[in-house]
Amino acid sequence: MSDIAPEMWEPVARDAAQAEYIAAPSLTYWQDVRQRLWKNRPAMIGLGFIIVLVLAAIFGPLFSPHNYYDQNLKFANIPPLFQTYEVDGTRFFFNSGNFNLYEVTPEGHVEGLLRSTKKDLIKKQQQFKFGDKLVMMDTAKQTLTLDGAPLEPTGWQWNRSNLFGTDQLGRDVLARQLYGARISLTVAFVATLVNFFIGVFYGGISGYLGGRVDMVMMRIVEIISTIPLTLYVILMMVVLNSGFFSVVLAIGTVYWVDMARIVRGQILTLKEQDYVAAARAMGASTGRILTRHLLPNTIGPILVTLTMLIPSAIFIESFMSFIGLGVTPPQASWGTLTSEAVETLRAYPYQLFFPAAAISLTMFAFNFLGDGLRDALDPRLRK
Amino acid sequence: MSLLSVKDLRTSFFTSRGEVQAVRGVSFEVRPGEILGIVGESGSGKSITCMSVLRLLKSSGRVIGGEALFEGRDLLQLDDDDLRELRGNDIAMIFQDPMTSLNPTLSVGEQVMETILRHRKVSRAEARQRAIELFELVRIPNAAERLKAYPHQFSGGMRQRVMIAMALSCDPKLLIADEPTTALDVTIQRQILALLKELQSRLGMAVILITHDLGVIAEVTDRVLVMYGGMAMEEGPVRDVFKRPSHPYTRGLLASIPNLRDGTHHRLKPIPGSPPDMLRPPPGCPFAPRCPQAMRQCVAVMPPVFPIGEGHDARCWLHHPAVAALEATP
Repeated sequence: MSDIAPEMWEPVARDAAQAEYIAAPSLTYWQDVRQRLWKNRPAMIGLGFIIVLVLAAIFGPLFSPHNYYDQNLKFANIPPLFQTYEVDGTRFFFNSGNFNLYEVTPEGHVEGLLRSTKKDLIKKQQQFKFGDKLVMMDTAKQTLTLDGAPLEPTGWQWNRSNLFGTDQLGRDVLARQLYGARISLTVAFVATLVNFFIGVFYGGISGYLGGRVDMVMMRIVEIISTIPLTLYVILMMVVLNSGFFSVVLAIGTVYWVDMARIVRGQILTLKEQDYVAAARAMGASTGRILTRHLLPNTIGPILVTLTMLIPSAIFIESFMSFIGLGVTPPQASWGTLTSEAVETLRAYPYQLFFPAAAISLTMFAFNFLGDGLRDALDPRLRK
Repeated sequence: MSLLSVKDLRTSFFTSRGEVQAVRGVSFEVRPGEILGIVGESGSGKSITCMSVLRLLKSSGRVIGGEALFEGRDLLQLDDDDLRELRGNDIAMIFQDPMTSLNPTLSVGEQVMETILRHRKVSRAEARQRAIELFELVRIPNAAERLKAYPHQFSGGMRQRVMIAMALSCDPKLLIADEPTTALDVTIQRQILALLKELQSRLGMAVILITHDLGVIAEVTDRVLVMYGGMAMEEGPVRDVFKRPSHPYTRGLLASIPNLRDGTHHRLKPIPGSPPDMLRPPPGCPFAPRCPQAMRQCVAVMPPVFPIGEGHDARCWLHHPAVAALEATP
């Protein structure tokens, strides 16, 4: 046996103050939630993506040399990646969509359009002169020949002037994309906020008052939700004229029904809780019970619904813009970018890639985050 | 002059199955500074009686008759604003389960201060000071620090102390404690009861203590009201009722508490049967089907209240002069 110091056998000094103190380091609810969310990898990736996206949407356009509205038809439809040729010290690439040759600097900046020296419209040939060398372009076969022999490309080059290329009016796609992110995200956040306020208070009042009030309020919700929401939004947009404000208004006034239902369900179960009766017994008013005691306890499901509402608002906005009811040109949203890209889909299919990727990646990110939040906010899932 | 005087209170719940008559004409009085115990089995209507008085019934419940005079004002007729002013200020309530009676998203200090700020014209700092005093009053250690804690950081006993602090925050004249110790373990029950009793005598408020534990009644209360089937079966001073239980139901309750003190081993006597269906209450005495001394009269006609002694009444046909005369003759 190891020696035990004699003072260890002395009686413990009692501290009455500590008698009922639960000493375990207890985390508050939100610390716990944060820890669980942190461990959820898809949710964190989603959150990271959303943060990067928001920062890019806010600050990106400030650093871009281009803006979303300047047109330059000379530089229309330039791809983000092209095959370069070199003849007599001049680097250029061939844009097969509009039969133009563009001069490119060694770094990959697009310098300018090369003028053909001779056009033969019957043979469908164009002639370009580089020093003493002649390059023939066959517009029908879409081939380049140098002195009769096929011209070999020197390699691939990223477009450094317009990272995502340009659209059919020569506007920088990246700048428009970032600007579109501003519009799309603003629409989504504002519409979600409107949904949040209407839904939470409507659902809260309906659930708390119950009885006949609840009956009438929920029937109204049912009437709104039986009309296909997309149809309803389209009808509203037709009446309201298209534009940023009306998109927000249309989405905001229709999509709150889900939120109202969820909040009502939560309140219905929560209002039977003892602490609500206790608060009433202490003289708290209805409004106070609702805002102080009931709604803070429904914050979990509300938060999850909000994160799930954002992607659907983005999607609805994109859809509206896609069918031409959204923001008006030259303003861009991801939806208008998509619809513009669809117009030139056959010649430049890659133009569809960026807005489509932006929409779907954002939807994924919000959905992953929403899923993660739902898991993190549910204490029963604690491991 | 009594503080609270309840006369012929009737409360029903209107459910899909029909009208459940939870309280059927209960009358009692609470005098300033006294502790009234209301005792009875689950479903006897004791909690509903008090909830009716404060009008805290769930949506399907409705008071259909009677009056509840608090300092001369009928609580059942008061408008909502005046009633809210009164709740927590003049009449406070403690609930059965301290684990669910506190809002998990607010700190305990915040919840105590909320009641103070609701009823007193004081600044937040003053309310905080008052909350600290209250925490010290109910013996929560490190009061100032524990104000910031959340309910889940407290044990059941501590939460009940918080509830008591909250109830006492505006010096109520009447405190209704609805089974305040039922959800706690035995050692904590003692502490809470002792605390309640001490605070009651120190602050001079009246208390209605609802319980199903006659031991608690014997220990803490001045007068007792025995309820069964939504009615008062017997009412009187505690000593008198324990010495001379005048209703078979009271006798049954007394026989079913274990007595460890006198050393003799005798079987506990449970009361056979179960409480009546309040959807279709029997026409006679509600206890008649389970009563060992039931007579035909008991089943057929509701017994009136017979005086037994000084402030001691029982609702039982056994006290009818004719029955006494019958027993006298062999």
